[in-house]
Amino acid sequence: MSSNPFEPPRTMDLDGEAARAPGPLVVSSDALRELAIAAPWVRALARFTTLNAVLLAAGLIADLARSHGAAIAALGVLANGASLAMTTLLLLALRRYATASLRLREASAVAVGPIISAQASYLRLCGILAAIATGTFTVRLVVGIAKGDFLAWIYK
Amino acid sequence: MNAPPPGTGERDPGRQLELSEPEVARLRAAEGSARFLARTGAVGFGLLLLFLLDVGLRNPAALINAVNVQYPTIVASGILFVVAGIGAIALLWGYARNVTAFFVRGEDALARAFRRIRHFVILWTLVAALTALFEFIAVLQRL
Repeated sequence: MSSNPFEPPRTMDLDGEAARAPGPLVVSSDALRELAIAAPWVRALARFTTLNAVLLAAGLIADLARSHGAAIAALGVLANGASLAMTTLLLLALRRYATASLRLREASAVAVGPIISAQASYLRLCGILAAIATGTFTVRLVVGIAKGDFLAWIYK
Repeated sequence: MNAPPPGTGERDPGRQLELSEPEVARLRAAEGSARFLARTGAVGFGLLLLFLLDVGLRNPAALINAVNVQYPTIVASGILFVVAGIGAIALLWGYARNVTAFFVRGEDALARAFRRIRHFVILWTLVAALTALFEFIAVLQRL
């Protein structure tokens, strides 16, 4: 406890690590219903992600087949290959999420744990990919600006 | 309160469920990941918007030219990703805040958190559907 008598009263901070509510943590029927009605959307997201992975693979083949310069073709292959690898990783997490959601929809409430687990895995993976993308962009921006040649053709 | 009977592993879906310690730990991990993703996304989109603003102010003709040399589907896909990404950041932040509120105040906030994540999934499904359409057109254009 603070010894400062003039300190304002503390309010609940929802943006940081909060103290745990007393008593058991309970998933209400409303929360269960939210998880259940999300199931078809999670399955649809998994299917569209699969379709995107297939189309990325097709794009990769198209890039390999084209007779452009070796450097441009290599860049296209690298970009599409990286996107394909990321999409496949996300797809694995999404399929777990979709399977658990459908189990909950089929009235198997034991699926709540796997759904929360799959949500955590999917969000963690998305966070890692977002951090890599943002970090790469930032490094390219900083290095390019420092060297003075980043997108020089645009700044002319 | 309505914990599964020992040894069965099944729980009644029509009633409230008590989270086990591993499930609480996973929910905390999901909350942390959602918060991290929202923050990282906000930084990434913020930098991207600053960069585009800088280029647009210095040399708008070159920016328009850079857009024109791309396939329209790639440009549309990029715009869609940025617009949907801002919505996704707001939904993920709402999810994280409501999970935190659940840990502090109790069960009502968890339904709101799961509603936010459902909206996030719906938004991202629409993005994935449109991205698939754009990718399909782009592949046809490349062949």
